[in-house]
Amino acid sequence: MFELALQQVVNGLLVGAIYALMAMGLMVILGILRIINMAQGELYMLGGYFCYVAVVTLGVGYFPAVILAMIATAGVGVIIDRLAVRPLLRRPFYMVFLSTFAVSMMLENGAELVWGPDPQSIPSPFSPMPIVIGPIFLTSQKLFIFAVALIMIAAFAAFLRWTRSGMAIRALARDRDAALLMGIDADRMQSFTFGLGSALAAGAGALLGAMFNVYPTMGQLPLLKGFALVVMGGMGSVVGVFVSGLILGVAEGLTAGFLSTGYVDLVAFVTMLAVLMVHPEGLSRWGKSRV
Amino acid sequence: MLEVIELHAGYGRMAVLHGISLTVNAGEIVSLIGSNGAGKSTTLRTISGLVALRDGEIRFKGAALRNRPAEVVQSGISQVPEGRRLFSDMTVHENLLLGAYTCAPGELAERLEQVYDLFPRVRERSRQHAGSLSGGEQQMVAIGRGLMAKPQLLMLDEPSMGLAPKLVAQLAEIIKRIRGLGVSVLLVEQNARLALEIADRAYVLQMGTIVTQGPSATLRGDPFVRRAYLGL
Amino acid sequence: MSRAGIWLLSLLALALLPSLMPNAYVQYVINSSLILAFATIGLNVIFGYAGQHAFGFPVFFGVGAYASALLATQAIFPVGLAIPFGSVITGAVSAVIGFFSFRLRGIYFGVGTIAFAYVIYIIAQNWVELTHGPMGIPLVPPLRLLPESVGVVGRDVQTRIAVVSTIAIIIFGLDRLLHSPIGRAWHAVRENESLASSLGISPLHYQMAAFVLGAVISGLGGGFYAHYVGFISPTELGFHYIGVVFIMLIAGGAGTLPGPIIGSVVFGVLPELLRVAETARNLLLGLILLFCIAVVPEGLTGIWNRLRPERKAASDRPSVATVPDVAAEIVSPATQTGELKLGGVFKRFEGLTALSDVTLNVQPGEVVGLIGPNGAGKTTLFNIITGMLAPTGGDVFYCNREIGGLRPYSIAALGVTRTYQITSLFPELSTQDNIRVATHLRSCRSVLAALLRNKRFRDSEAAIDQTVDRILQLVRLQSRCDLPASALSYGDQRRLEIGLALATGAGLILLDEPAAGLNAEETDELCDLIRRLRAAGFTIIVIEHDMRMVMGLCDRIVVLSLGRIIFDGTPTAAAAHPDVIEAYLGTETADA
Repeated sequence: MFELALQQVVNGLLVGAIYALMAMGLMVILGILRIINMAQGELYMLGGYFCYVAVVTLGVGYFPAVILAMIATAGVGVIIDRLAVRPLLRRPFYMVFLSTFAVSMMLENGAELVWGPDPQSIPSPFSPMPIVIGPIFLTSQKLFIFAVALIMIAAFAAFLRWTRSGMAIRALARDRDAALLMGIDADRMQSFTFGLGSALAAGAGALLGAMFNVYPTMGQLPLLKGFALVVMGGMGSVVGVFVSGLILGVAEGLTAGFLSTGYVDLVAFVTMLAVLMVHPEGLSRWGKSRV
Repeated sequence: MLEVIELHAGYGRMAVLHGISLTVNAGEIVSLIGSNGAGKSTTLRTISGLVALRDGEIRFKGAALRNRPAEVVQSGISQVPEGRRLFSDMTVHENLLLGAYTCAPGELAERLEQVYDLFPRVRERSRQHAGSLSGGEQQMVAIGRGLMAKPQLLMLDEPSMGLAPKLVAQLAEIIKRIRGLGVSVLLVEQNARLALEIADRAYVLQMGTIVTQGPSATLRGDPFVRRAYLGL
Repeated sequence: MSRAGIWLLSLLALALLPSLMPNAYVQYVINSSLILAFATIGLNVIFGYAGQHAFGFPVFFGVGAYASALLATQAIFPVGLAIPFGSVITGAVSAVIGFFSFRLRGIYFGVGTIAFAYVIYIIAQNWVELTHGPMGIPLVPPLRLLPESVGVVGRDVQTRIAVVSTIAIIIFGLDRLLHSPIGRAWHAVRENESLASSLGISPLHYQMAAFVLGAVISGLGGGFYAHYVGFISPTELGFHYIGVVFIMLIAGGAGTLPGPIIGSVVFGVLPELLRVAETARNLLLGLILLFCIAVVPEGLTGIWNRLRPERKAASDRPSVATVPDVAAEIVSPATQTGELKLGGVFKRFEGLTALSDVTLNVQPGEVVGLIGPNGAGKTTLFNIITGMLAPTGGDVFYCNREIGGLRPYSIAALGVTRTYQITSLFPELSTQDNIRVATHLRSCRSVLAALLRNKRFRDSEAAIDQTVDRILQLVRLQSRCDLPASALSYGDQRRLEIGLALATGAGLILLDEPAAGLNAEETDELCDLIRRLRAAGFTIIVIEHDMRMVMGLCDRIVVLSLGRIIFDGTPTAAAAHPDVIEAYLGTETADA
């Protein structure tokens, strides 16, 4: 019983870290552009597929493949921003919601057409030999992925905190007019942010894809869970979202182990709704939600 | 140095400025005064590019100034907005760094020193969160942040608002020192007496048009100014 | 041909023409599309009419399907009862979800409804005892209108006739609701929620009504679906179903009456016609949605409306004849007027004290000017009196009733309303319809009356027409009564705002910078209007910066500075008072 719980907790931490990575991208786009990018899940999916293509078709090593996937998806993100988001920013916000939703439908169907509906797995360079620590089974792949996810999140946090662009992003999220008065070019920052958010989602997808599989519909739920994390962790708080991600991953793992696998997805939604009932405007370090 | 020519601007259907013209020459402190709703803030916001210019022209250092915020800052005009608008969850230091967004990294240290010299209290508080400072200290930080962009013209929007009288006196001192550093100043104020004390020249704005202008000394005793404020 | 005629003909065609199709599969596709139209119509009620972005809303179609199927298979209801009862259950479920969802603001509302939709989906997948899980509920009994023996009229036709008849009834009812105070309230809440609230319309009330009504309609469709297809599974509750319904609505024309039906038929049938698009269906649908949003947000119905010659405005009475602007009949307050009493009101925001110790009495029939420098708290005071903010302490009484802390629509009902610093109107509506919306508090708001169009309703609407007419004359907008409010000049818009305030029947009107942006001539007209209102018995408080205007117009001046009242007396005394002068012109630093 206890061993099962521990195993689930460890697995949950891993999945949670990846959720958090995905949520970071969503958060930064939501904060700057004040929109929900409904295509975020599909960018996550594309990350997985681009990584797959890089490894299987181009023969690139796994880790460089992840980087390539992130860059390629960032490019896709910028295109989405220019074509589907930018022209609609003056309209009521549900327009952008629906347009990114349309993009998500197209990307999902497109992926199905290109790669087929069946799940693919990304060949792993790691040995399948389990590393046994007490009652817990780990693989070197899982450890590696967890480490990479942590590094990416840390790098993102450092970027936001210490770099000039990161500060510009935070300034724009906090007080747009004042940020403009600093000479920050909002248009460029917006495109950059969209690309950055896409890259983060892609990284999450590439990492998860190696652990499990990539398939065209893999992005649907992570999008909503990512949003749930932003709600729970608080907009603007990297630490908050990260910790919420870990907690969610563990909660899901325990639910799967002890209740039923079917209700796993419920955890994120119920928690998110519960948090929103208490804070109807959402928690935010970046000032009240002006969305 | 700054020439505003027949400026028309507004929000949505509401026209606020009906053909404003003013100039600021190098080394001057010029003030724009007037009662509430006259359009003073709108004037600064239009110059800074936050509000779209509907008609008229703005020229800076002889060249036409485009109505885009990033370019305005890069040309050498910086604004300290009404209500300070500091990034309250960032430290004072970070706020100042953001002020220098358009500067080359090499110049940062020098600029910071200059600002800290001007505001020793700010240096003491540089690692504190901007939101935790008192009103007067925040105003200092806001002005410092505006100076970090190495402007040739600094625009201040109602800096005395909400400040205690003692701090208002300090403010007057600081603005004069800023001029001494070679930065021209365009000061928007509702506190007409303060403005006329500090500035060389002033424009009086009422309902979106300039109703009178001239050297401060002349305007100080002018009953017309009082009438413009109180509608007598 | 009249509107009703076009509708009747189209619906008949929809009901009967498909029978001419040889292919049973085509009949199936058309029927499914028509059934799905219920979901689109339901979504149109909450999204198109009431303007609420409930992105997860189409889930109620599936809920209705499950409810009806379960009633028929487990509780052995006859199909004819299962479907309507199923939709009632759907309504109940939606009331619960709506209750929680409407607590959320902005984007969280939309995402919250998606979360609820997902929760329902997951429950349907997993609560196998109730819903049979992913396998779904099989052997759902079919809908039969005629006994088996009458084989000539096949089941497809029976279903289609039942569906089209039900749609016809729903459309008829919706049309009546739309052209009633309820429909006007929905429009108001959609276009400008806070203005609607200050005109006496409770946004939550009408949003919830639209939510539940839309859900009941969707649930009805779900019921038809279950009994037509004979089977229901969690797919009908799934994510992409949501996308499809949205596309149908937007491409068909959100906010219009025929839009959802056209969208459902076209986009239900279209993918089947383009058989090649089977695997690329979502790709195409997504493209269509993008195209619609970018180029034609009003959908097919919108394009049709644009192509047609200019019709009269949406009001269903002939427009007021263009007469030269006559001296207006005086409009009087509909509610009793009384004294406004503020006692020791103070307001604190997170460390900032915006108002302190504000004590003020305003007698009926007075015109009081509220002046003061920037940031003095004038608008905050207005917000507190009209309910947009609650006072942190102190009390506010009007006509001896405590109004402090009440919602704006409740306060409006008690006779207090306001205009705004920044123009706040319903831009899409015509001038006269703007005023008509504002008569909400005087109107007959009963749903039954609206549907039946009984004498009470018709009399009420006639009285409202008269009131609208008189107000139009008073604010000199008669000749522009059919122009959309967005097309009016700035000065006209400001006058229209005052017209809206008068339409509520309130006796106490707060004007927030009514002269802002007006030229001298317009300002004089405004003063004239205010004097006439005073003569008619209104009480008026004005925030203004135009000192000339305030001094000449007001009986009394109240000066606010840094949140406190520093003067309360006659205009002449105000202008000479040293505190007032100092507040405006500022202190000299030498005094510090």
